[in-house]
Amino acid sequence: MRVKFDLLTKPRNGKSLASHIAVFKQSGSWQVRLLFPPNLTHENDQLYVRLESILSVPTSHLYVDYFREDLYPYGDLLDLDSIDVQGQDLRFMVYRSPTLPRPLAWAEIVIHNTVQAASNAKGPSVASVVILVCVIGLLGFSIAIASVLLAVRAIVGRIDPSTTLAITLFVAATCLAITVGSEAPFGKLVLGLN
Amino acid sequence: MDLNASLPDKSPNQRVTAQALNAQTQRNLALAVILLATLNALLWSFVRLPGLGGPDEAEHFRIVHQMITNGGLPIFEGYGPGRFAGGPVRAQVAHEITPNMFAVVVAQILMLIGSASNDLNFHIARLFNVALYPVTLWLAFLTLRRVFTHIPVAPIWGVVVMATIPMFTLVHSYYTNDTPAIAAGTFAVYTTVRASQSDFARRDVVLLGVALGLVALHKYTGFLIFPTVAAITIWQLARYPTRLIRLAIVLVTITATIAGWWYVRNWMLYGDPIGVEITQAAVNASGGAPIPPRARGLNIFEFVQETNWIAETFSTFWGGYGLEKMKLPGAAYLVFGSLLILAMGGHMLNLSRNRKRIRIPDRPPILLIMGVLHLGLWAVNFWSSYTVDVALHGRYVYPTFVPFVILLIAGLSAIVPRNVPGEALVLLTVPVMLMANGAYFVQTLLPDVLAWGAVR
Repeated sequence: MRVKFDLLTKPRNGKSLASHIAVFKQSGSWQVRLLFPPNLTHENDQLYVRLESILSVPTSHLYVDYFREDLYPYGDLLDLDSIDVQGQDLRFMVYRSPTLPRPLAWAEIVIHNTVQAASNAKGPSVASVVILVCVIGLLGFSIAIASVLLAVRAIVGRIDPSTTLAITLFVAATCLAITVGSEAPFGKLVLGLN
Repeated sequence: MDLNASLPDKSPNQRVTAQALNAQTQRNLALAVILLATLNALLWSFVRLPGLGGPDEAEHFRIVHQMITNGGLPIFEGYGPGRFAGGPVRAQVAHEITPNMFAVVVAQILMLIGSASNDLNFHIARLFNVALYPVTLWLAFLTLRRVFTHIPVAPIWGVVVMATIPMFTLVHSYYTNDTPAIAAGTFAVYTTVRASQSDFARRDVVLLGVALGLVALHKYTGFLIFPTVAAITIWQLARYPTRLIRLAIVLVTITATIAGWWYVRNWMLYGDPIGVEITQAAVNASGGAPIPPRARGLNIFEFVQETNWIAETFSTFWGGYGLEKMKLPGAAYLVFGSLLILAMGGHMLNLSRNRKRIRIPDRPPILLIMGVLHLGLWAVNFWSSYTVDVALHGRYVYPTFVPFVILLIAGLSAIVPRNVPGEALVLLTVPVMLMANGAYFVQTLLPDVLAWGAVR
């Protein structure tokens, strides 16, 4: 079974930005992972994924049911078909592609999304939100350092800054790897197909 | 394990640890964590949409709004036709009849400083809930410090747990009647431990009476403290009946003075001091409301199966509120589940180690009190879902979150070695928990708001 995925700017006859044909050899649940570079689209531009089955027998049909697998920190992938969209077009959008290199890109996106969310929620000004995010980040990191410092002091019997910093960074990196994984600033859509 | 015992003789390792984490360090670290948790809840409150910050926020704010516009406490006048028709839940007790004195304070202050913009008023109202977070955490720290005198790292770890569990942060970041009930419940647990440990010294009895009065003026989820306190006083003072009666009179008098008027008012207005019966009659009269599982003839097992009660309440206890896709990744639930299994294993280990020394002590063991409070509330929550309104959510047991943390730590402490490496390992979990909370904010909370904004 072959399924063609088209990335479109509009639901029906939009410009195709990218396409790919996936071949499924077994029946059952199929998972598709689409990765695309962030510069493919602009902030708040909507994208549509069109699924088109390529069948060898003209009388065959492919019934596709889909569900979203992931939560995407750099935007949101909306699997909400609007009424005027026919077939299996999935609408999603990328809020903003980060401009800074990793790992600064993560901080950039966190601050940008927090400010955007506060704006959606009619919260306080941009400056106060940014300051609050920075204070929380610094305070959290200080507490992490202090905890590790106490742990190190309990074991070696003295304050050891280099070991403390190394362990803190190791713990932070491990946690980042677990919680964020290899999540790069790329658009990613994971679809489960039944 | 006798957690009422005075500080045991310390091993050389424990002496080193106590030095490494002395009382001042312990307090300073706890204060830093509490400050972080408060700022974090403040940030969460900024980014949640007004009225959609969490379960029932708009309904809770409606009560405040009524107090501002009409003056005085709102009066329940029934539900409109078909109010609960087609939905999965029915009201347990109407918001107007559920005690929530915190709302009165919020309404009074909003009358003074409120804005013409409802959105801004939502954000102002949320600040009161955020402000209760440090109070609750500090009371929790004091309680943990009293209980775990021999494990210096335990109070810190417990406070960090309470500061980083996503749902616990969330309930302190939107306007809800859960938060004041949690604060009052935590205060009551603290004063109960304090009074029990001091054999009901006069000052502690007064504090306990005030705490019980505050609990009685808030959501019913905290009410299990009343029978528990009654049982503790009887256990400890049964041999001194005169003192027991005197103490009971003092506690009842203080509690009734603070909170009695609310129930007298309900009785005079509705003929129902608690409000469950009149609410259920109103829900039924509105027509089309879902019938409670028990009344539908489901047995307990069918009810659990149909509602997925265990998975739903377990998952929402840690993070998320059901329909609004705010749950944690599956792996996080596996970690929490493993922690609980380890803690239960620790309790079993303790029981088997001490089985020959089990006796009835003069004072009820702290773990028994905490077990009754926390597990008892789960049982009440289950029964309420089965017989009145399904309304599944783990946050309903949050007024006994401190008892939960105490049970968790006591269980884990039987497994984690109480030596220097063991306690250092516990300290190393602090940054992990902080980062996990941050990850929930970035990965789940923000996309939820941003998606809504995009759809709008």
